[in-house]
Amino acid sequence: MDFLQHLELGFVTALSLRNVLYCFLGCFLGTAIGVLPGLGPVPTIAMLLPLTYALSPVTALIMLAGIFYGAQYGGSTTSILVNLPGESSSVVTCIDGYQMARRGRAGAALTIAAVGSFFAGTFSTAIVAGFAPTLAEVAFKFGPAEYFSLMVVGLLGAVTLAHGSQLKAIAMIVLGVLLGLVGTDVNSGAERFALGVPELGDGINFVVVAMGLFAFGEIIHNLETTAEAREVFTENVKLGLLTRQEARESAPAVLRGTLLGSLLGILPGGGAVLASFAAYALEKRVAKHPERFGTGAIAGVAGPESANNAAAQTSFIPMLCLGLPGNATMALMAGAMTIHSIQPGPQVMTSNPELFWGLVCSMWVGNVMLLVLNLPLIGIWVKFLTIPYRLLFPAILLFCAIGTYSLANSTVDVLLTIPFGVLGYVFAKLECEPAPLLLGFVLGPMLEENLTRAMLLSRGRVSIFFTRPLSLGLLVIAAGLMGLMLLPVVRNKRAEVFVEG
Amino acid sequence: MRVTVKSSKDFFAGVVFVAFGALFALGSLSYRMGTAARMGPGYFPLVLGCLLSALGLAILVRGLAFSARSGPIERFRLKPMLFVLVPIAAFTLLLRPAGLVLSVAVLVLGSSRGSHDFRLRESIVNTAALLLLTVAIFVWGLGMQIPLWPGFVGR
Repeated sequence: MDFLQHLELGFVTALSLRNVLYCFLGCFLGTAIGVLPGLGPVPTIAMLLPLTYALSPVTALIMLAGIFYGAQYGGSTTSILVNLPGESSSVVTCIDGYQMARRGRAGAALTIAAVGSFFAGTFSTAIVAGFAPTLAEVAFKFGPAEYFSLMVVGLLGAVTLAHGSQLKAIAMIVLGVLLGLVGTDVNSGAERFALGVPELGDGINFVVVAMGLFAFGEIIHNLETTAEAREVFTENVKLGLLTRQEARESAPAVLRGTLLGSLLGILPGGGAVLASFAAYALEKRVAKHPERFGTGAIAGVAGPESANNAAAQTSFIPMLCLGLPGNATMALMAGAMTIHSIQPGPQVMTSNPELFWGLVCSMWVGNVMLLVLNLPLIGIWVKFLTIPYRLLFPAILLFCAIGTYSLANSTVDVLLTIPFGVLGYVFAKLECEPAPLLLGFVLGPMLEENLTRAMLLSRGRVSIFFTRPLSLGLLVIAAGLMGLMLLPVVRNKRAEVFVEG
Repeated sequence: MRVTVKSSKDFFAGVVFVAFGALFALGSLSYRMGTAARMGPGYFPLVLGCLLSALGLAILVRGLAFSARSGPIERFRLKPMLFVLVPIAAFTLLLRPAGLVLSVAVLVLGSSRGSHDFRLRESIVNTAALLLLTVAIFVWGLGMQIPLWPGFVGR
């Protein structure tokens, strides 16, 4: 089948009434929850996951993807109207977006965020459609040694590009991999680290980890900090037209943001957060009047918003083609696929073409929906913003608890979220990012399986990883990434990108 | 000579990692090791457990050696943690014996107490609204098999 046939298959799947409906529902719910301050895409997806259990795999994934970019988009609305990011990828949008709102240009800021996101979404969906088959073909040449090396590159890359201490992040990955080993070992059938709890024989569900570490950890942290008085712009917020000057300034920023975001999304550990920070730094660098950044420069909204949406889209590429999630959100999507008994990886494209292409095309459909949804509904989202946190967090807790219970109608699963909640709080205090842990957790069993198989093939010689050219190449990249971090120039630059703003 | 803990965040993070690594490494000793060519179920966790402990040790030492890299830990507060996690535990344990209505009330009212400005009446309204929403989505919508009331009521 050639490219156009693929796209046709995809659009036929994505545009079926049922899938359009669920895509809409996903975008709607995702935006509604994403708008709420302090609730990012990971807990949002984890919370809404139970709604998709009963659906067919294609529809479920389409809805989940809708939830994902809805949540992403909702976060930017919050950033602009309340000086409080709805999620970490819109932290930088706060800076200039909020200042624009204070100067009465909230409408323009929201418009450019919507239009920029739509443009970026369209472009990056095309990238996914064009790039994915080629990458999947390469992936078919991979043996266990290559897969193992690839995962090492992916995990180390995630550490290099994420912010915070690398050593701690690596330790978090290893801890995640170890936690992922809990349960029955596929090779020997031995039950490991189950502590005599029969429910642990099937391993810890990734939703349990995500809920505990991300959702509960976040809520505990929010309850601890006293709510400061914030100014919320809820009066008469409408999407407004840009002035000619604003349009001229933002158009190239959208373009730059889209390109940068598409590229950074593909990299392991990349994704929306890194893309938006990098795009902000880039806009500030190329601007004629960099001093205007921080006081409401529209390029400071247009660039990062386009970039984070583009990256959100292209971060599907490694997950769909290689079965390698590059960030926590994708780890969750990969987990959702396995719930519907689809193993993410290159075989999905050939064994389930309508799922793969349907999902890709639904990304574009979802972006159209976001644009359409947000024009008339912005008033409703703004209402959501005025719900006080004291009413919100018990609701979040309730839906997390019921959602976890409904995974397997198991109370043990819900109780297991509690130690992970404690762990999430402790790690937040110790400045250990939870995302690498989730990544390691999802990849852990695959890592062990491929290592075991590679070592079996080589009769116990580690040299197999260095003598096979593809594997060697990947390991050289991994070493390069590590080496890069030791260079003071890179180290400072990296800190700068994340600190900037 | 006194060793001062200069960066307590790094120091304690290191301690946590060393402890986890040691636990997993010790635990893995009870499984068959196998050889590098035919790895038993204990092989991979043992290697990783040791690796985690080593990483933890490095972080710990870094916390001792470099000053003000990551700064002291903010105070741990037990209260917000308990207000989130105890209601969750109560909800879970009550769910089957006492039914959805009571357990939702316990979870929502209990956790609401953790807020800085708790208002009883508002929380009761919130509980009722959330209960309705939960029943509508999960029981009527998704057909979740869960009793609404304790076993002795309504039989």
